[in-house]
Amino acid sequence: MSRALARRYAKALVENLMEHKEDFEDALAQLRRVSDILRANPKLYRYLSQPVVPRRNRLEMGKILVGDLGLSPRIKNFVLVLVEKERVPLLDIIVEEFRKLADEALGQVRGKVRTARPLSSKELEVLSKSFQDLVGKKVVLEVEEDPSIIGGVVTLLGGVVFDGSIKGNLEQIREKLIEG
Amino acid sequence: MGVVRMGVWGRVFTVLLLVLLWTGLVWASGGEGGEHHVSFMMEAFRVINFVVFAFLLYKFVGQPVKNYFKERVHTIELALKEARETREEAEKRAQEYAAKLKNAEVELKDMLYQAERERDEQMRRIREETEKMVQRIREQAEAAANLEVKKARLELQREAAELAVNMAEGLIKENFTDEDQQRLLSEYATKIKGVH
Repeated sequence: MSRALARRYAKALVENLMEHKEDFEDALAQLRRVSDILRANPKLYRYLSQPVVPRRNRLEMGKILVGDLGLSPRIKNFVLVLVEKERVPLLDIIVEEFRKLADEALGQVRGKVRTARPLSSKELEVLSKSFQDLVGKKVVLEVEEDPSIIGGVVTLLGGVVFDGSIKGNLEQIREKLIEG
Repeated sequence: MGVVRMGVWGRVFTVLLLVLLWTGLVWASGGEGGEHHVSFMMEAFRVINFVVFAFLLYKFVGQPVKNYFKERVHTIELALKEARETREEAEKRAQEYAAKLKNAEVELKDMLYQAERERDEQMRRIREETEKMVQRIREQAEAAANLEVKKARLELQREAAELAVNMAEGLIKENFTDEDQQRLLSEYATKIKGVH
C-alpha cells in the first residue's frame, strides 16, 4: 500500500521534471540529500512525520530544512508537499521508485560499482561505456568505495554481479585449492 | 450252564437214592424167608430192579445228560472259537503293532534325517548371514575410515588454501599500487566488452 502510494508521488515528480526538462540525476541527488539529513537527525524526522505536530509548524520546519540544502525550486516544493501531507516516512521508498521510473523514462539502467580506490571520471566513463555496449542501454553507475575488495571493482547491474576484484579472485583461488 | 449241570446230577442222585433205599428195604425184609428162595428172588429182583433203574435212569436222566453233553460240546466249541478268534485278534493286533513299530522306526529315521537337514540348513544360513554381516561391518568401517581420511585431507587442503590465500592477500595489500588498479580496471573493461 505504502509502496503504491510512494510510486504515485514518484511518478508525479518524474512527470513534473520531464515537463520542465529538468535533470533526473540532479533531482535524485537532491532527494537523497534530504533523505540523508533526515536519517542523520531522528528528532527532525519525527517532528516532520508526526501528525500531532501542527501542520503550520511542520511546514515552517520543512522550509528551514529545504532552505539550507541548495535544492531546486521543484524539489523544494515536492519535499514541502510531503511534509504537509504527512508523507515524510515514505521518502526513502519514493526515492527508490523515482530512480526506477526515471531510469525507465530515460531508457537507462542503473548499476552500482564498488571500488577499492576512488575512480576518476574517465575510468567511470570507460566502465559505463563497457556496460552500455553489453546491455545495449545507457548505463548509470553509482560508485561506492569498499577497501575490503583490496583492488579492482565489483559491479552489480540488473541483478548480475561482475566481480573484477582482487578479493573475488582470491576467493576463486581458495575454492580451487580446496577442491584440489 | 451250571444250573443245567446241577439239575441233571440232582435227578441222577435222587433216582440212585430211591433205588438204594428201596433195594435196602427189600434186602432187609429178605432175612425172614428161606435161603435159596430168597437168593433166587433176590437175583431176579435185582435184575428187575436194575432194568427198572436203567429205564428210569434213561427216562429221567438220559435226555438231560445228552443235552448237557451236547450243550457242553457246544460251549466248548464256542469257547474254542472265541479263544481262536481272540488269538487271531491278538495276532492281528500284534502284527499291526509290529507294523506300526516298523513304521514308527521309519518315521523316526525320517524325522531324524529331516532334523539333521534342517539343522544343517539353519547352520548354513546362519553362517552365510554372519559372513554377510561381517562383510557389511567391514565395508562400513572401511567407508567410515575413508570418509575420515577424506575429511582430514579436505581440512588440510582448506587450511593450506586459507594460509596461501591469506599470505597472498597480505602481500597484495602491501604491494598494490594505483597502476595495478588502473591495469585491473582496463582488463575488467575489456572482459566486460568480451561478455556476450
